[in-house]
Amino acid sequence: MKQPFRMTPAPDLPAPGYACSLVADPHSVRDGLAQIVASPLLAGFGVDARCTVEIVLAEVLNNIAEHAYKGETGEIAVDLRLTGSGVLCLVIDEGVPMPDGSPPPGLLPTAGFQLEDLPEGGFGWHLIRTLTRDLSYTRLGRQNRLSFLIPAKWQHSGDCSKNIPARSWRRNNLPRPGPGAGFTLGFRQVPT
Amino acid sequence: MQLQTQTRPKVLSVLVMEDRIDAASAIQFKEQMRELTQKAEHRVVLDLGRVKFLDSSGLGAIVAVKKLLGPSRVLELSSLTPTVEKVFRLTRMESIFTIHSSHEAALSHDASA
Repeated sequence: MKQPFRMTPAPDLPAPGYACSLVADPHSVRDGLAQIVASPLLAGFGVDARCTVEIVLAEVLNNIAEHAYKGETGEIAVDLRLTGSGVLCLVIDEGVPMPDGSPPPGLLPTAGFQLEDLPEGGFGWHLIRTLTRDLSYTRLGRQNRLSFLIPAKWQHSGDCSKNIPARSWRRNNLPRPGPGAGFTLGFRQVPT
Repeated sequence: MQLQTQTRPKVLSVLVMEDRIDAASAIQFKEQMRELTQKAEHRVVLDLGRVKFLDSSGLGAIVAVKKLLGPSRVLELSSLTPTVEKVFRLTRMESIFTIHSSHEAALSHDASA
């Protein structure tokens, strides 16, 4: 039985956010994605941005289930924060480290023109790399910590932070990640 | 995974009745497609109009079905929703499939062939 997550406590951060933890298997990932995409945090973004968030997180979370936990039981913590330039994501797991200590470069598998050469996999990291910015991976103790920004424009006029409970990440009683845990976020006002 | 089929002369239509083909359903999708297309003669048109979400596992499964059909039969796609279209475009897999805007377009394409 795995120990529950332990994350370094941190001072309260003002950024509107959403956090959840989920079991690392494809069905739980599917359910988790549905909750994340429907969360008030993303309500101010257009359909296209929400789709991008879903694609990126689907790839990241399923990779963790398949490769970090190798199909065995495990837990994943997801923390999303709004910034002026998009959705900043931190994803934490306690599976095995990334091979070579860094995430794959995400080169597209070379598509041959022969039917039998067509790639059936290797698309995931290409999608993640293409749709994110500032991707950073650290191994901290037993934890893999992957952070990245999904660039997106807030569509609604007005201050987005007014509509979102600043403490919505308290959902599921998830301990807060913070500066001591290698993830420091400042919330910048979104220009209207 | 619910797949609805319709057989016409030389073309087998498969309508995916699910809103996603993802890591949780990709293997099942591939296996069901393998069974459904066993007797397909020439063209298989996969209608993805109801599929709102496709991840890399789902994409891999669709490519795998294309490969299963071998060189003598073709897999064509129709009615891609925006997210599905985006995944095909970003991975450049759109270039290896014939993609029709609608199922009707796919079928009339056959009539003119």
